[in-house]
Amino acid sequence: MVLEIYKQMIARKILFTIFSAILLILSVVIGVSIGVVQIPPSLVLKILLRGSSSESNYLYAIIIWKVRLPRVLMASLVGASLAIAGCLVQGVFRNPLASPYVLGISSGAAFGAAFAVILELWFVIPIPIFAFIFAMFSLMITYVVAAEDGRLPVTGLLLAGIAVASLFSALTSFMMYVAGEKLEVIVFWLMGNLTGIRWKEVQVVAVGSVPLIVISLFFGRELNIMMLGEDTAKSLGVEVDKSRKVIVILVALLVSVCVSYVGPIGFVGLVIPHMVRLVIGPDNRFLIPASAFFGGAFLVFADLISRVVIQPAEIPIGIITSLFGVPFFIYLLKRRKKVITYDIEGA
Amino acid sequence: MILKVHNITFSYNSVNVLEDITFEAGEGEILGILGPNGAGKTTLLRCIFRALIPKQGVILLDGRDIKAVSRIELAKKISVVTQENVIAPFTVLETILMGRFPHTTTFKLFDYNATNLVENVIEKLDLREFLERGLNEVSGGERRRIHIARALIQQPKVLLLDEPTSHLDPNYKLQIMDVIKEFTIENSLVTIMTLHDLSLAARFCDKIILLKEGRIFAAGTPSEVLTPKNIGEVYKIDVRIVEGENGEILGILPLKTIRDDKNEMVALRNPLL
Repeated sequence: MVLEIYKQMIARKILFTIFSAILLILSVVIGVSIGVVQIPPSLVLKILLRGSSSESNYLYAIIIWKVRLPRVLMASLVGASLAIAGCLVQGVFRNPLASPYVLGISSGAAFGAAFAVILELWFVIPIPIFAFIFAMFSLMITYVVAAEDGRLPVTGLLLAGIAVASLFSALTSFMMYVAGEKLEVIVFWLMGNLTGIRWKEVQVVAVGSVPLIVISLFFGRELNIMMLGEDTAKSLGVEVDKSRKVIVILVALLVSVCVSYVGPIGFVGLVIPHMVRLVIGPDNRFLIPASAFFGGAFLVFADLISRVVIQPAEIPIGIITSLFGVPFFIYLLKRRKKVITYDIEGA
Repeated sequence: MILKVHNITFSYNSVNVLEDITFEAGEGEILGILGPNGAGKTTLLRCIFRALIPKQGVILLDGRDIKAVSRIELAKKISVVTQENVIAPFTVLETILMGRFPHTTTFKLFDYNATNLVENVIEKLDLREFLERGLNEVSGGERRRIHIARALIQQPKVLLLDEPTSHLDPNYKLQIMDVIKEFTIENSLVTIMTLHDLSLAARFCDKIILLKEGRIFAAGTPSEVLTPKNIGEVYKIDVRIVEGENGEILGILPLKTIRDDKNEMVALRNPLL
């Protein structure tokens, strides 16, 4: 009888995970088909599945393969990575209001990008490389500040992250203050956007994020246990201190890889895990993959909106995600008592 | 399975919280750890499942130092109900099934070998009606039972319980202690629990260790340890012991706190305060 009840609980989670996966595939097809030039989804599928194309479709094929597909794939990779990072960070902090950006990494990346723009270094070294270097640098600071006798206490991590984020935000503001006419470039980067993404960028991000996404899937079960409390988790066989370090580094790498290329796109990491949690509950074994698919689809649609609303111009995608994210965030805060069943560490 | 605690000393910030603790716990027996607040009961328990590493001394499980065993292997032998009052956002059933964690692999959703055990434990702890509720939707006492169920389906050799009866009404106190006793005997468990309820300890524990300021003040059977003199020395209270026909302790009634000439409570003269 217990088995039946458990199977029912699990079935719902599996179904939603499959639904999210289908949604992601759909979003890719729709994302590729809609734009300044409309391409019917059936034709998109035909071109995508056959690879090459006939004479009549030549132009469509170029648009799809050279322009839209890399961009849509980038959106889904970034959405998936940020959503997973959100699940991991909310699980580790046992706090549903944590976002992947609380570790201060995105602020470090933003400073790196602004720095590169100001010094006009991007002619030599691309902005993403700079952003990534500073993301890693900010992770180091957060980590060293938070570490205590070889452990990584949750509260310390949160506070160190906030401190590092403030520090780099201040430095970024200073860069913007002295930027002069380069200000526009910095602002554009800071808002997050997928403009001009080509296969080269997608390849780099995929090489970085896909292995990280796969590794994350292995942590769902442990993360569940860790949410029962530190001592209980230890008694169940989880090396809490070690796992927490690994997860924090996973989050940092996922965020760094994405943010360095597309800028700090907001709210995906915070909101997507919540949307999914509302449907299937907090079981991280399913929450992580379902959020990945769902987050990927969300960002593909957000990117689509950002491309078509005032076409042929574009709105930076960060604005779109926040426009959707903020109302939901407020809604969440309002019904916190029902949704948040977490016991906030140290509160 | 024998658990030997040998010469354990543990200190927080160079203040010794535990000093020279040595004892043995055997199969099929409940060992009660008693003592006033701050005597080191929970610290001792946390050392046994390696949440804390003692400054000195060793803890041996069948002759093997627990420091040499990986955490996951240790979890197959020792299960714990802590006093952590974390309300995780899971359903009751999900929480209980997490007890199978050390016995299953990453992508295995359900441990079919444990189906009967799970049914049995849920039945005995009277949890069936709660299974689909959230942990935040049940009372503190119910959460206690849920975590005891979780610890039992972990199929341990050693069961550690930190105040298993706190938050429970008198009925469930007895029921839970009965279940624990039954499991201890049936599965030859080494069961160690901290307790504040002296009557319950006298009734259900086979052996008792009485801690005072981090040291063992007395150890032995309940009737050897729980004498008015020992209790007076350790807890600073006068008690009356109610005995049954065969001399077994039925209950220990606290009568009043012991006061000195100036009518101040002796217990408050703890040097640490």
